[in-house]
Formats: sequence, structure tokens, C-alpha cells
Amino acid sequence: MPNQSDSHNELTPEGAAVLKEIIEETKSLREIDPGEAPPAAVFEAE
Amino acid sequence: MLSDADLTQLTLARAVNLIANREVSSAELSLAVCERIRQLNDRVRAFITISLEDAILRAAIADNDVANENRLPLLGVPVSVKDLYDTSLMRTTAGSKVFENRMPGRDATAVKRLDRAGAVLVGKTNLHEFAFGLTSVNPHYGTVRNPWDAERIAGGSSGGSACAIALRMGFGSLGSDTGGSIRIPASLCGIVGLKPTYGRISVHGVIPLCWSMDHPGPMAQTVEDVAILLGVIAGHDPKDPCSRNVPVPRYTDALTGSIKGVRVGVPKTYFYERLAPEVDSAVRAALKGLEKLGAHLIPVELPYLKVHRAVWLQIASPEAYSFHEPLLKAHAALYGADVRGRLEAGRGLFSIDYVRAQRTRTLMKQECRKVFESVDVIVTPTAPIPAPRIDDLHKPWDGGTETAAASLARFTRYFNVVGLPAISIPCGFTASGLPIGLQIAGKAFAESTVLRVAHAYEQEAKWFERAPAM
Repeated sequence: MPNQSDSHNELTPEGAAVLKEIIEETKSLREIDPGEAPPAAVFEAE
Repeated sequence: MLSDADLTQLTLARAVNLIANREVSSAELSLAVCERIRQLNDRVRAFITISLEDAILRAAIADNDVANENRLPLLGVPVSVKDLYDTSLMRTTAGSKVFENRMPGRDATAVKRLDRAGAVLVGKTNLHEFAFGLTSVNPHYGTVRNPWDAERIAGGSSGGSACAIALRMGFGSLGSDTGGSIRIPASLCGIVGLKPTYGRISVHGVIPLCWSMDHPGPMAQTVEDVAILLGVIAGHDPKDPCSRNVPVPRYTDALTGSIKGVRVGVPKTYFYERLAPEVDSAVRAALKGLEKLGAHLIPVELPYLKVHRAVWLQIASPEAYSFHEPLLKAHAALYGADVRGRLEAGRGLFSIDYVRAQRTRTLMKQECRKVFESVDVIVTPTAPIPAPRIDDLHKPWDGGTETAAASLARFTRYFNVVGLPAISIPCGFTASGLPIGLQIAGKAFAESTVLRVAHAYEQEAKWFERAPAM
């Protein structure tokens, strides 16, 4: 679980479970080579 | 002379015409709708706030406008909006105790446009708390019940809007969609719901969940009704920095009934895997129906589908936490446990993963651009299962590990990440009478094409003619 620099509160059990799920899901994302792709222009549709 | 029951069964388009031709008054229509809400709402929890007296007053004004030959696109027609849209005369709770008494003192731009079009606002619909969930099981305002089986969910987060339309408690409603929150309840309740292109409808005055993936949109009984509503609320809004200044066509002009030669993309993987058998057969029959209407089915590949859920989570979670941080610090105990948990998770993620997600989002947009060079629309199921029972939400639905609740957004989130328009329309019913939804997605700002294909199928299949018994 990542360190949290502003962790003024403990995570609830629900929060911890969601965080664990996201971290697990993110493993697939870390395997992607984005090449030269910049971050998406967030506020524009395709 | 139409009875109250007949009046509430009208489509929005028909209601507009009958009022304009003075065959029905807005007062008659509004009273019939209000009576239906009064009869049903305690059972289904579709509305959080009801504004019957204001609605009747507004209807009287509309009837006066009709008498003065005033022609407006929604003149005198009763509608509702999700309780995420700010309204000057009603509280906006976002389905949360945190905002239980919040009076924003303004109308969201989309609400203002409904008002200027002459619509009669009858109330604010229930939702998953802060729109952060897909079930509309709301611990504060009650669980929205499925109109076809009250032991099942209506879907979410715009569950109250979908339930209200299916049960004829108004002729149109506005929802919002960040991961499927218009399309999923539309699918589960057997109505039509459109998530337009990102930037097509202003988010000004709509309480955010995730700024870069929030899409307001219309919900109604038929594709034509949705096209009429979209024409009213779409268009540039200087108050919304994400709004795009792209001309708004007359969407109803696109509803020609002809889709001869339209190229329908059918994804080779992912969307047609792990479906409930009745969903699988209904969607495949719909594809054949499109083919019979003259469309060409073309297999397509979207390689980044495999990571789109991770992209969505890495973007939505921190954006949602960013909005809620001060509220959580002050009122954490007022949140429902599930939504609080989802929000808290957003503060524990790494910024490098957020950037990684945004870079992958670029790749996803590029793959869409490429695919839409060879097809006009992409067709998929809206959800892999029909409405699950409330008691079964957190159980695996097919013997695997995926719960029913987790399965719901499997096919919808992708189009929020890339910001493309996508509609859900009914494409059949299970043997036990639960609706099944078909998703049709298109190019950016090509809502007309999406509506045209949806309308042609709808008019051939006529699933909209079925109504729940309740």
C-alpha cells in the first residue's frame, strides 16, 4: 500500500479494499509502453 | 378523451404534439404524472424531492403560453432531473446526507435550458450517493427499485431517472454518466439513455464526480424523445470550461429509419465474452436485425480495452477525492460506507500512475480514431447481465470471482475514458421479463449517427411498446 503524505485519517476497511483492488488492477497498466504518447488532453473528446 | 393512465403512457414526442395542438393541456398531463408519482414513489424510491405544487403552477403558465401560440420544444411537458443537477427552487442533495439541506440558489445550465424550452420540472430523482456507484442502493434516501421486478436494482447511478421513465412518472429525465451511469440503468430498466460526446452538454451546475469523464445526458422512453431532449440541452456554455463550441444539429432530422450501408463495428474480443446467456442471444439477434436493415457488420479490434478499467480507476479515483477532500474532512461519518471507501482510495494512489493512465488514454483515443475510419458505429451489449437481485449484488454471478455489481460497468467505462457518444436502447427481454440493453457508440460529436442507428433498430424491434406492470 502506498505511503500517504497527508494521511490524517486511517482508511476504512472499505477504503482499504478499494485501494487494494486498484493497485492490483494497475499492474496491467504498468506493463503498457506508452511510447511517445503524451498525457491525454483531458478536457477534449477524441 | 384520454384517461390519466393513457396520458402517462404517451411518449414525450406525442405529449409535445398533443399540448401544442391543444388536444391535451399541460395541467392535465402534469396532474396525471403527479398522481402517478404519488402512487408509486414510496414503493420504488425514484424521487428524492417532489415538486408537485410548483409543477402544477408551471403547467398553468405553459397552458397560457400555448393559448398565446407560443411554440417551445418542450412546452408543458413534465420532466425530472437527477438530484445531482442544481435547481434554484429545490434542494440538491446528490443523494447524500452531506448535502441534505443544500439549496444551491441556481439552476444548472441544462436545467435552465429545459426551463426555457417550456418543460415542467416535477422533481429530483434518486441516485447512487454522489453518483459514485452503479446500483442506486442509497442508504439515505432508499434503494431505487427496478420497475420490472422490485426485488432487483434499477442500476445506477441515475437509477431514479431510469425508474421514473419506465414507470411513466414523467416523459424525460436528465442523468449523468461517468462510467455508465446513464446507460446501465437505461439497460436494466428498459428505456433509452444517451451519454453524449464529452463537452456536448454543459456540466455547469452539475455536482462533479470526475471532471474529465462526467457526461450529462438525456433519458426517455424512445430514441426520438432522447433526440428532442438532446436538442434542447446540447450546445456551448461559456460557464463550462470543458464545453465545446460545436454546432448543434436538429437531431430528429437524423431519424430517417434507414441505415442501409451503415458500417457497424463488432469488437472481436471482450464485449462479447462472459455474458449471461439471454443477454448474449438478445444482442446477437439485434446484430442480425441491424444486418437485415442493411447495415454491414465489420469485426474491429480495440487492443487497449484490456487496460481501460485500470485507466478509468486511476483517473476517476483521485479526481473524485480531490472534489470531496474538504467534505470528507468535515463530514466523513455522513457518507455511506461504500462511497466513502471509494473516495478514500483516491488519496492513496501515486501521481505517476495517474500520468501513466493519461498517456494510455491518449493511446486509446488514437485506437478509436483508427477504428472509426472503417466503421460508423460500434455495437456491444450495454451490460453483461440483466438487473441483479438486491440480495445478490455482492455475490459472483456466473460461478467466477466477478460480482454482479462489479460486472455492470464492464462495457460502458471505455467510452467515458475516450469521451465518445454512446446510447443504450432495449434489445429484448429475458424469459422472466427483465430488459436487456444494446450499446451503440459513435465518433466524437456524431450523436446524429448514433441516434439514427438506434432509432432504425428500435422502430423495427419495437421493444419500447412493453411497459412494466407496476
